[in-house]
This record gives sequence, C-alpha cells and structure tokens, in this order.
Amino acid sequence: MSHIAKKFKLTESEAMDSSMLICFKQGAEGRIFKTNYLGKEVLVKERFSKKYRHPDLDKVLTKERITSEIRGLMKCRTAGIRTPAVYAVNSVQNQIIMELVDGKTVKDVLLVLEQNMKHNNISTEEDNDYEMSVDEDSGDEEDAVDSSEVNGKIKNKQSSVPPTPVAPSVSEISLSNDDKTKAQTFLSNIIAYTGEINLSISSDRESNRGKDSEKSNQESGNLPTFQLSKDELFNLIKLLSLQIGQTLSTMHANNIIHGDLTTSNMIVDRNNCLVLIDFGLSVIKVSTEDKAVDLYVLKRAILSLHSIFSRNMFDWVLGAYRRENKKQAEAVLKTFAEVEMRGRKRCMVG
Amino acid sequence: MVIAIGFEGSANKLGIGIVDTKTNTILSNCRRTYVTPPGEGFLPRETAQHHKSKVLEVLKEALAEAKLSQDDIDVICYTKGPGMGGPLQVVAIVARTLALLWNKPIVGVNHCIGHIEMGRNVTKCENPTVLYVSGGNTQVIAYSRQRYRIFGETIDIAVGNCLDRFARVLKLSNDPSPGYNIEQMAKKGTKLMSIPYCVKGMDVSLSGILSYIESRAPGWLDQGECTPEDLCFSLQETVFAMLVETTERAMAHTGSNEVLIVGGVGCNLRLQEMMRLMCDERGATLYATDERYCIDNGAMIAVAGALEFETGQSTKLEDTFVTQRYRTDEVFISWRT
Ligand SMILES: Nc1ncnc2c1ncn2[C@@H]1O[C@H](COP(=O)(O)OP(=O)(O)O)[C@@H](O)[C@H]1O
Ligand SMILES: [Mg+2]
Repeated sequence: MSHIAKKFKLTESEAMDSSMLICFKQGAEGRIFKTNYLGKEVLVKERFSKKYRHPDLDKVLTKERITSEIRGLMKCRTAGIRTPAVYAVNSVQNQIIMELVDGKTVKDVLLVLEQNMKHNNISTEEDNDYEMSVDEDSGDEEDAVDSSEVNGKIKNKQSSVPPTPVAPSVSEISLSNDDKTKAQTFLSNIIAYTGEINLSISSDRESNRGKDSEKSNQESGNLPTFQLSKDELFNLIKLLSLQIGQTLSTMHANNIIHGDLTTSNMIVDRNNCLVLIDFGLSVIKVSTEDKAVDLYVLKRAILSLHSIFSRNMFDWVLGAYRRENKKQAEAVLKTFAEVEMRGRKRCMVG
Repeated sequence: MVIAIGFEGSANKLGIGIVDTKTNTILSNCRRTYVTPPGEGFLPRETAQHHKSKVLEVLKEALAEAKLSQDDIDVICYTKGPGMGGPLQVVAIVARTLALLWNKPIVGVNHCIGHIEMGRNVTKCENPTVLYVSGGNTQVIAYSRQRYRIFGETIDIAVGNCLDRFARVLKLSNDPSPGYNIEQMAKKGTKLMSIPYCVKGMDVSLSGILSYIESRAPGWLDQGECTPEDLCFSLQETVFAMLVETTERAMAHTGSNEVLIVGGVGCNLRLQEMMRLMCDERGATLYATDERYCIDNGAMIAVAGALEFETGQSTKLEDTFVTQRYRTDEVFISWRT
C-alpha cells in the first residue's frame, strides 16, 4: 500500500499534535492514520463521509458506528478481552484516537503462512470437500420452495423436502505443551518481521497482469520464509484458532456481538496476544441468533480468503469456542446450523 | 477457438445466444421475457410453458441472426442451475435433444458463472471483486485458487426478490421488469424515509427491510407521509448503500481494486453510480454492463461454456440434468490460473 502523506487540520480544542498524518491503511469504513498524541504514537481512525450514500443516511450511520465502536471496545476491555485503548474521540471529524497495536493482523499471518506453504511445497487436501451443497435435489417438476419464495406465498411449502439443519463440524484442538511453545516461537518470529506485507488474493497467480502483479510479486518475494513443516504449520494455525475461539466465547458470554468478524479485524500483538478491533458494527445483545450469525460471518471470511486452511481452521475455532463455554456453544451452534441452512435453501432464481 | 450456442431459461427469461471465441464476438443473443400482470410473480409451471412455446422460434432466430447453420456450431451449452426446476428442464431437454440430433458435445453451465464470465468478457477486467445481484442471488465474489469464492451474500432473500416483492406492494408493472419501473419512479423521489439498514460484515439481510416496508407503506401512503416515488427512492438508497458497503468491505479484505457488477439488478444506473463513487474514493475502477448482458441471456451461457470446453471438458450426456440449487463456489474453474 502506498504511503500517502496527508496534512489535515484538527479542531483547536484537540490536544493533538497536528503534524503530518500518515495514512497507512484504507479500511472498509475509514482511513487509518498514525500520529503523535501526548507524546505517544497513536492510531487515528477517521470515518469520512461516503459520497455514495444519501447525506442523511450517511450522517446517521457514521454516528451510529462511532458510538458502537467505542462501546464495543470498552465493553470488551471490561470483559478482559484485549482491545486497543481509546484515548480520545473527535466528534467533529468523526475520529477515534486509539492505541496503535504493534503486531500483525491474523489475515497477514495466515497469508505469510500460505506463502510459506507454497514455498516449501506443502499441500493440503482442502479443496476436495469445499462447502458443497448438502442437498442436491435435482429438478423434479414443480419446485414448491421456489414458487413460494418467488410469489411470497407459503401455501405449497409442505410438498417440498423439509429442510434439515446440519450440525457444524467441530474439532477439539490437541496441542501438546511442547508443540505449543514451538508454535509460539514461530508466531513471534512472524509478528516480529517488520517488512511490508501486501498480499492480495490470487494477484500473484495472474500471469498476464500489468504493473500491479509485478509489484505484488516483488513484495511477495520479500516475504519472510520460514522452514515450517506441515505439522508445525498446522500447530501454529491451531494456536491461532484456540485464541480466536476462546476470545469469541468470552465476547459472546458478555453479550457483545462483533458484527464484522474477519481475519482483518484481529491483530496478534508482540506478546502473541489476540487483539480484537473494528467494532463499528457491534451491538450489545442477548441473542443466540446474532451470536450464530457472528460465527457464520467469520466462517465465510475464513473460507473465502483462507481457503487453503479452511478445512481445519474454522472447525478448530469452534472447538475452542465450545471448550470455553459448553452451554453457550450448544445453543449458538444449533442456531448456527439453522443460519447456514437458510443460506443453502435459498431460492436462487435469476 | 469455437462457435458455441448457449441456452438459458432458469427464470422468466428465455435466451439463446451464439458466440465465436476466435473473434470474440457475440453473433446473436435473442431473448423473450415472460411478463406477468402487475401484482403477480411468475410461477414455475407457467414460466416453463412460456419457454416451451417460444424455444424453437428463438432458436431459429438466433441461428438466422448469426447467419449460421447447425453444422457451424461446435458446442452446445445450457444452464444446469441454479433456478426454477420446470423452466430449467424445458431448456435442458431442448439442448440435450439438439446435442444428439446434431451430434455435438454439450456443456452444462452454472448460471452465476455465466454472468461473471460474460461480465469479464464484455468489460475486459482482469480480476475483479464481483457484485452479483439478481432476482435470486446477492453475492460478493472474488476469484482465488480455481474457484469463485463467496465473500459476502444475503443471509435471507435476494435483492431482486426484495425489489420485485416491493413492486407488488405498489402494484407496479412487471413490464419490462419490476426493477426497471422502481428505478424510474425513484428518480422522482426526494424524501428519504427511514427504513432498517442491515449489514453483517460482508453479508446483508433484506427480509427485515421488506417486511418493514410492506407493513408501513400502506399507512404512510394513506396519510400522505410520502409518495410511492419516495418509497422507491428510499428503498433503493438504503439497499444499494448496503450492497456498496459490503462490496467495499470485501475489497478492503482482499486488497482488490476492480469491481464488476453483474446480474439483472446490475443494470440499475443508480446502483452503478453509487458503486462508481465508492470506487473513486478508493482509487478503484468500476466495470459494469447494460441490460443486454446484465439480464439473463443465452450468450453468457455460451461464453462460460466455451471457456470450459476449450480446456478440453464437456458434460457426459447422463450428467446433463438440471439442479435448482447450485452454488457459485461449487464450480471448479479450470480456465483461470
Ligand atoms: N489499533 C490498531 N492498531 C494497529 N493496527 C490497526 C488498529 N486499528 C486498525 N488497524 C489496522 O487498520 C486496518 C483497518 O482498521 P479497521 O478498524 O478494521 O477499519 P475498517 O472498519 O475500515 O475495516 C485493520 O485491518 C488493521 O490492519
Ligand atoms: Mg476492518
């Protein structure tokens, strides 16, 4: 990502060093800057107005998300989950000034691992069973589900096969203390790597692309390579999954719904500790449905971007999630199966 | 390098198109739409009947327009799914019969892949984040490792379905399509009504919006709180903002800087405009097509089928069935690196 130096003004009342702000990430919702605040290097997340949205809608959403983000970050802290400390809020410019976490996103860690797998010629069998539809009811005459969906009538519904939710597969993580220590060391090494990581999916595989691909090929050429065996690699993924599962279980036990669980929104810090970020879509809610959707969103994020690991990784996350809090997990996973089934049973005409 | 004919009939459009991959041209792309009266959706039985009564006429037209005879065709492609069982079957039977009659290889095509490959072909974009929006699908897709992977999608109903059912509340005409008429009315709307906005990560939820509007709209209109035009405007502004937001989130997640919009809802110019504004802000590029390619058509099935055929694959006759549910990420993409 190119570093764009950008000067911008802050309100007088802000005790903030209005030096050059460095935009170092353009996220989905806002721009992320690094700056100095009371002598500390901090991160500024600014939600600028989105021109594509109607101004009224934009105002409402921006305010809502800043409020949600601060509430989510604070609530998690209280619950013992590591999140960046919030230092200040600038409601004029819609900025949150928060702790800059020194670490790497789980996404980047996984992309480094994927790169290393290719480098060391390790393969997985993941793609053979990639998320197939469970039920293949090939077109028998009238399709009642479709007609009812398309027409908003429910009357034919009973003639269709009753949908049956399939319980998600959950894998217990077994990781000996020895392996765990080893994985911790590998993880520290990856986190400590300070070069730029800028991998975008598949860009390194497109052969006939222009400058972009050359650039990213070069960058991936700069990636640290580690001599990891397949077992060591999977132990590292187990270690990450364990932390993710535990953290999410605690978060849900405190009725915090993150709303945007992806590997981009989790950072591993210098102490190998998992830090959750990006709470703009979070809500506080005692709702099994919302917790299940939270996990569903994460599953999809892992499946799509990290397909190479998806066969095991999400199952391990669920394993850790269940081990941490059996009672909660049983209810949430039951609903999870229903949420997933809705996706599969959806009418797909057109 | 082949000449491929594509048969599409998974919903209320029947399309037959012929493409030449050597010159990369669409030789013909003929279509008939089954239009229902205002307030009514299309049912599988009647839609299948419509396709059955029109398919031979459209076939003749497609061959005549392309100035080709059956001998010039190298491969027959048809929509295997997803879609409505009856209409899919009518078209598959025709394709299968012709394959036997003309003694040509046949390729079953995933409808969604057809949309994506047609979009890539027409716009010449390389590796876009794809927003696929139609009557039955709402997905944010990106390619990686031999699959079109689904990053985000609706967790309940599709956006086209939401628009169509809303059009029925207002008793809008289905000619040429409910979505088109909503778009025209929305241009005259000014007041933004507050309706739920529901985004979950890269996924969206639309059923809550629909039921909210279905229950409130009659009251609002009776009391003169807003006009039908305002309702169309509000629905579009809200729902499209959700789609653009989730697309942007997927782009941030994958580091992509191209967006391609495909599917029937994709020809909505307001959606394209909003997406373009988002892209401009990120330094990304938008690729979109018009109704000739966005709306279900036969050429898109020919384009995708030809890609598969050119890698040396075709579908065995006993496997040329149809399937109502057929996810985008089930298809192994052999033709991309
Ligand atoms: N407190 C932080 N410390 C370090 N990096 C951060 C922090 N907050 C965000 N980032 C980085 O910036 C990216 C975007 O931030 P995020 O809060 O997720 O915004 P968005 O809503 O735009 O996704 C993250 O994926 C992460 O890499
Ligand atoms: Mg984020």
